[in-house]
Parts: sequence; C-alpha cells; structure tokens
Amino acid sequence: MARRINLVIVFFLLCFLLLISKLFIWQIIKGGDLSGFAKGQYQVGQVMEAPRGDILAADGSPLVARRDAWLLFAEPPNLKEKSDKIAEKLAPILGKDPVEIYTLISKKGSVWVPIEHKISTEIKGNIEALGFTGLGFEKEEDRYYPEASTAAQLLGFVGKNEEGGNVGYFGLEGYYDLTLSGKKGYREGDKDAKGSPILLGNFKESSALKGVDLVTTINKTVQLTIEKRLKDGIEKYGAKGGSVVVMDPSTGKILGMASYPSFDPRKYNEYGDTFFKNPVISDTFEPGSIFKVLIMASALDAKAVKPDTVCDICSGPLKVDKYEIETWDRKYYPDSTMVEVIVHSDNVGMAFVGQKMGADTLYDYLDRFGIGKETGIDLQGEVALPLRKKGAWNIVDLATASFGQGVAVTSIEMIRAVAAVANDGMMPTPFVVSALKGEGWQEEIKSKTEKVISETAAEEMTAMMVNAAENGEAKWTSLRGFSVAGKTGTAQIPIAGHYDPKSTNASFIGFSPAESPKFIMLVTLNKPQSSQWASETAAPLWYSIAKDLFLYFGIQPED
Amino acid sequence: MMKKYKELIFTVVLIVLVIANVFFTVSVSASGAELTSIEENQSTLLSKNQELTDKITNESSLSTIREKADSLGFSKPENIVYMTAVEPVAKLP
Repeated sequence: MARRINLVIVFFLLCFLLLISKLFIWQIIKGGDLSGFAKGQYQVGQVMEAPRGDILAADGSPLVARRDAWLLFAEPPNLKEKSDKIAEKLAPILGKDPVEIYTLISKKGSVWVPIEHKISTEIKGNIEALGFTGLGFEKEEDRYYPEASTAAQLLGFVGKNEEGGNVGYFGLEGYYDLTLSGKKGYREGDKDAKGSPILLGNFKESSALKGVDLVTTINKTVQLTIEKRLKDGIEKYGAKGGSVVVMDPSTGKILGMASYPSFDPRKYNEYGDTFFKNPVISDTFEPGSIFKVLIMASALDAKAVKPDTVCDICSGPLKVDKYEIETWDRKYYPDSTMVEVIVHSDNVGMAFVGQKMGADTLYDYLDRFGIGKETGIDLQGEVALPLRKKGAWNIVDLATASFGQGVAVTSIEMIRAVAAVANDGMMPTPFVVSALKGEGWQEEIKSKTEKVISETAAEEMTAMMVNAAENGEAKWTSLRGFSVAGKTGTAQIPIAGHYDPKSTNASFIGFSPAESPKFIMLVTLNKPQSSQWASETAAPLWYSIAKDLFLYFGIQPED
Repeated sequence: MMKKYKELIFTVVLIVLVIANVFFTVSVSASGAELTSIEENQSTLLSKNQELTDKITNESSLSTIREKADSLGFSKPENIVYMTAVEPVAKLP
C-alpha cells in the first residue's frame, strides 16, 4: 500500500516538475516571444505616416502637392486566376511588360510580392474593377507636380533613403526636408476578434503631424515665361545650356529661376546626377564683362574715379607684366570717360579703374559684394569659389579681375551683387521661401539687406548701365523707350590652364525700370554657337523675356 | 426571515450587476465597431477630398490653362501698342 502511495507521489512530483519546466520554458525562456504573439492577436500597433508639406507658389497655388498613391501587391497563394491571365490584364493598365508582371507573381514560394509603387487612385479603381482576388493595395504618398517639370532644379525631388523612407534631395525639397517631413504618429490598443478597437483596453494614440507647407516667392507666370523663352533661346543660339534668374532687387525675392537642360522630378530615377544640381547656385563661371559693373561701382564708391574721369591709357593695348590686355573688338578710344569705358565695355579702361583702386581696396569691395562667398539662399547645393587671398594679388590678377577674368562666381552671387546697384547700394539676401504655413498658423520670413556702396555710387553706376544698354554693343536689341540698366558679358572658358579659343559663356544682366526696378534678371548661355558674343545671344534673349515681363509688371515705355 | 431577505437582495443585486456588465460590454463592443466604421467613412471622405483637390489643382494649373487657351484659339499678343494720354492744350478755368 505504502509503495503504491509512493508511486502516486512520485507520479505527481514528476507531473509537477514537468508542469514547472513547461511553465519555465513558456514564461522565462519563450516568455517574450509568446507575449509578442499574444499581443499580435489582441493588440493593434500602427505607425501613421505624416503627410509631407506642399510647396506653394507666391499666389498660394501648389508647385508641388502631396497626393494619395497606392502600392499594388499580390499574394500568390491567394491568387485564384492564372498568373499569365492576371499579368496580361494588368500590363496595359500599368504600362508594364506582361512578362515582367508574370515573373513577379508566379515566383515559387513567395507569399507577398510588390508589383507597382505609387499608382494613382484612378488606376487603382481600374484594377479593382477587374475583380482579381489575391491582389491588394497599400496606401503610399506621392508628389504631384501640377506644372509638370517646371522649376525642377529649384524644387528638387523626393527620393528614398537607405531604409526606404522618403527624403528630399536638392533644391527646396533638400533644404527644407525636415520642415516638409512632419512627424510620424503611432496608434496602439486592444482589438476584438473582428479587428475593431476595444475602447476600454489600453488605447493610446499619438497623432501624426503634417509637414509644414512652404510658401515660395516664385511667380508662376514669370517662371513659365522664362522657362519657355530660355528653351527657345537655347535652340535658337545653339547653346549647350543656359540659365535665367529673375529677382526683386529690393527684397531678394526670387521670382523665377530656370535652367536647361533640366529633369522631370516625377521620373528623377531616369536622369543622371548632373541634371539634378541647379546651375544657378552650383555652377561657377568667369563672369567677364558683367563683372565690370561691380568693379566700376566699387571705384565710384571709393572715389577712385568719377563718371567723367578720363582714362589716359586707353589709346591702345595695355602691357601688364608679360601680358598684353586688349579690348574685345580691338578698337581703342583714347581719353574715354568712365561712362564710355562701360558703354564700350573697354578692358583697358577697366584695367585703368583697377589700378586706380589698388588690389586691396578692390578685394575689400568684392568681399562686401559677397563675391567668393555663398549667398545663403535657401536652396540645397549652393557653392562658392573663394577669392584669392587678400595681399596675394599681383598686377596681372588686379588687371584681369577688373574686367571679370580670373574670378569665378555663381549666377546667384552675381545677381545679388548687381542688385545692390539697383537697390540704392543695399544688397539683399536672395531667398525662395517667404513663409512657413502649418495648420492654423503662418510664419513670415523677412528679407534682409546690407549696405555695400553709397546711394550716390549706385545712382552713378545705374546711369552708366542705362547708357550701356542704350548705346553699347547690344543697343540693336534694346526695346526703345523702356528704361533698362544693363550690361553684356562675354567670357572665355578656362580649360586646363588656358582659355578655350572656340567657346564662350554669354551673359546679360539688367534691371528695369532703372529708377525704381521691379525686377533684375541675369541670363547666361553656355557655349552659344550662332555667335560667341553676348550682344548677339544673351542680350536679345534677355530683351525677349523682358518684353513679356514689362507687360506682366505693367512697365510702360517712358517716351 | 431576515436571512432570506438578505439572500434575495444579494441575488437581485448580483443579477442587476451581471446584466449591467453584459449591457456595457455589448455597448462598448458595438462602440468599437462604430468607431471603426466612422474611421472608414472618414478615410473614404478624406480620399475623395484629396481626389477633388488633385483635380482642382490640375485643372487650375497654368500649364493646363495654357493648353486650353491654345485649343480655344487664344494667342499671345505680338504687337503691343502703348498709348500716351494727350495733354490738353487749354484747360477750363
């Protein structure tokens, strides 16, 4: 009897040990995993994506807007129709090769296959109408460009990072990525068998915060106009590329910025990296004669010269060290005044101005004009080539810099500096975003200006530019009666230690009306083929755009 | 007798509590389903709203307007004439 009782006791002890060990495995060893499985059955955890902010034009209409898009996926084990039939029906709707779709969905062992990302709600509806089981959709976000590829390099694009998340690259998308991105939300709680939330359970929700909208200074009419005219101009003059920037000189607001060649942000992955950078802020070039505006303005401000100062070395080529400085057309004008030096775009006359100023003074003024420094524009990808160090300038550097050789600038640096002349000596900081707009709030971004030259020097320089536009080498293309202050620039292109004898960069910078300008515009053409001279390429293109802008801004001829 | 009353009261309270519990559970459960339904409705409405916003954005874009203007035969003015107001030679007193 006692033996039987002992056996029962041992049996129960073994059962107890077994139970304890099983509980130990469930609760201690596999506790975390099993708890996770259980939570998965009765709890729901969901990350809520934050909608990306829109980018708006100055009139509040979108340049880039978010829109709903869908990921089409297949669950091969649940497909009831034959894979080849599904592929054939989907291919024309998605614009894909049926073989590609068939390969995806007929892959053995796959339980979930993504077929196409970012399809529109309309296409989703068309696919749903086919009634295939085993196909599904997952919500995604897409960027929508109502004006197609307009201002692509200014806007940038949204691509993927290494984790597959959305990231803005280049332009505004890159610069304001954090602001546009918003903050993801999270939702956690218990659910019933049908998946509905149990309100008495542990329900927690942290709402997603939509990204902030950017209100830009971009005027859509100006933007579309300059893009069309630039494209036409590049074709007409056979240039490799070109850029146009239009800015309000009193505030620094960028009204339009276009470059060609460009890219389509909807299909950014079909383009190479070289298309993404914005030449206006990322490409440096020797400015040539448009730089004379800054040198002369500096000399006037420093009182090194006056408008009627006579150049006593302008009767022929100027020997500087072992080099000889010539005028662009090899015509020489003895005893030219400074006004005539600008009108004739006289390199020897400018070398005279440089000598009057001296290297250190010239350096100080270029530094004040922001040459060699980034402008601080709110776009990703800005570069600047620093000036040669103060004190390291020799007489050749001084002479060549005086007519825009041996220094490199970006278009944005150049337009900002000349804007100081247009704006009574006050230089603005260029900017593209004028306000940040959230739900129920808006924060304005104020413009910044700094004094670089006196009002008198700016007025004298403006008068010289008006004279240059009316009587200079581009006078044939000027619009009669309109008040324009402008200057052409034809610059040789440095390659491997010397200048390319066959190609040039042609540019024209000007503002209108000269007295109280509504816009300043810089046009640059890279290697125009029809003529190497800016007066025959960049200048007529500038005036063809200006003609449209005069009408749009209500600028009328003065006589 | 007193004990019987106590038992009766206890039973009634218990039944009432059980019924209340069932009632509230059913009610809360239905609220969860209702919440899901409201959220689905909200999602559908937001989707429709987004679709309509996209449509307005597309239809009001300058590129679309330019295409429509071209198809309707509008063109850009080629020759613009600026007129100056004629200064009167003699003004009335």
